[in-house]
Amino acid sequence: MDGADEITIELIKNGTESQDILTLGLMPGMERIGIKFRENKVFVPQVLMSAKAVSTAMIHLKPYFASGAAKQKGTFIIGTVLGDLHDIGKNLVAMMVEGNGYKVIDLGTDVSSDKFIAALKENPDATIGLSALLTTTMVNMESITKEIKTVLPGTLVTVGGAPINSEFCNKIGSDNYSPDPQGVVEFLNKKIA
Amino acid sequence: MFGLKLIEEALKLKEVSRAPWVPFVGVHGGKLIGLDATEFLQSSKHIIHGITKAIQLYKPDGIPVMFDLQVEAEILGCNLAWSKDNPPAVISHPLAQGVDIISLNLPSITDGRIPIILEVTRELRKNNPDIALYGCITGPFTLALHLLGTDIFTKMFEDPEYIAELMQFCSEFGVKFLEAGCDVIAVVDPMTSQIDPDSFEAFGSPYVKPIFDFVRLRKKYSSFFVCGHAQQNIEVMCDCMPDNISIDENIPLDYVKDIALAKRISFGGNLKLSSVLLLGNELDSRKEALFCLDLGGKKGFIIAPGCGLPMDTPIANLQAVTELIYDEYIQQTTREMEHTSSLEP
Repeated sequence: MDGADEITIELIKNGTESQDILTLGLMPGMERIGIKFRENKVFVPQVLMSAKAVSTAMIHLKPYFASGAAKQKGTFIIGTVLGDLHDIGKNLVAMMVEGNGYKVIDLGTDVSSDKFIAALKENPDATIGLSALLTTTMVNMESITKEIKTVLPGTLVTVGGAPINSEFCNKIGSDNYSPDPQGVVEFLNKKIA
Repeated sequence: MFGLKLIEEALKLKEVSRAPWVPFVGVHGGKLIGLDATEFLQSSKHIIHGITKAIQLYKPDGIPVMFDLQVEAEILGCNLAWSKDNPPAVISHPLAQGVDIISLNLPSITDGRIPIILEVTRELRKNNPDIALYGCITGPFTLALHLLGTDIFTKMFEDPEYIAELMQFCSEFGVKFLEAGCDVIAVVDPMTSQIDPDSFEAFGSPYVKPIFDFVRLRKKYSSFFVCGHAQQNIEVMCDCMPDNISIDENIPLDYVKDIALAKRISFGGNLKLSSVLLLGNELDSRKEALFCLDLGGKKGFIIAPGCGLPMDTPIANLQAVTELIYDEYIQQTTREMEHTSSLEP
């Protein structure tokens, strides 16, 4: 049976609009997986396999993004905050957001506010995603959020990770907390798409 | 009744006078003696000192000798990033960098920090003959993830034979740690919380169950710790037949109780770590402990934190939990006390 890779190649060959492949083919699939993940109907292995399928298909669409024939909804810059080396949750969010039609810039783990701000200066309309797994590093989200909003006041910041909740998000002045990747997609769709 | 004897009664599902108390003191032991996690976890002298202090302060019935899930990974060539206030983190995955499974060796008692674990166990046993010592081994799935990285999740679909070979190695590696002389062997496998029950049965159960069978043959007790949201896997975890399962705060304790007792398995948990023990006050901690005691009951239940205690957990909060566990009068008064969490906005 053909997978996302083969089907994408076939559709491009048949003259299907690249935008349609993205918005009518790949994105609804990723959205369904995101909702099932939230509902505990699928788990990390299934999400990663789905994301891998979408990324493989995206390789064929990249030239159309570059030429403007297909458009991504916006840019999302993500990283695990300074002092924290955990990346599974951050990677899941990055893959899910990319699979839902956004350009994702993944700054990796242990990311300082300087790195976030440098990436933002190159992509001033981007939204920032901050991830933390540890109670000892979640506090760094506050200083990073504040520094980002001081330098580029209109920037939206979304936070997530095991010890985070909406009270903490409000306390540090972030714009959104999501307990799951699909929540980040929904926040982005509402605010910038 | 106290200590190992009380824990044995709970593990055998006998009615007890009070639920046994097992605080998962890991790097928090360093805090108790004024050391950071890096210094603490690399010295038998410091661990003995820190855990002894925890025993004096918290009067546990059982306690882990060392709570660090990176010991095995370090021996197998994973690079660690040490931290002042957390256990180290694995930052390289040898199998993802071209190392072959076949070149990995089972450990000897002189490898890595195994001599530290052995010395700590001997010394704690000598000084605390009545307390149950928990030996924590990294669960095979979590160790496999340390070795391979997150590719393990996709290789479960793409190359199941490879993952089976890796899991077999990781389960044999863990068994080597059983010689340390602890009373309860805890297989700590937090990463299984990220997989579904079918994947667990395919890539978890066949490799974890033999560890529990082996522990039983050696006339020791076993516990299966899974930190994280593992509600979907409680039933399949119980089917691996440990003597006890210990679960994290995000799984309802009564849900676990019903499944575990129906399968004749003891259960434990699940005091809230960051939102209560770390960030709350003494009354929050007492209320939380009482909530767990009332739900868990006096048959088969071991009260414990949901996972390893954060380093900076206030001593007063854990002492408040200790007092409540030991004193029925405090339980009664706490039950009747009006309470709004100190963390409510």
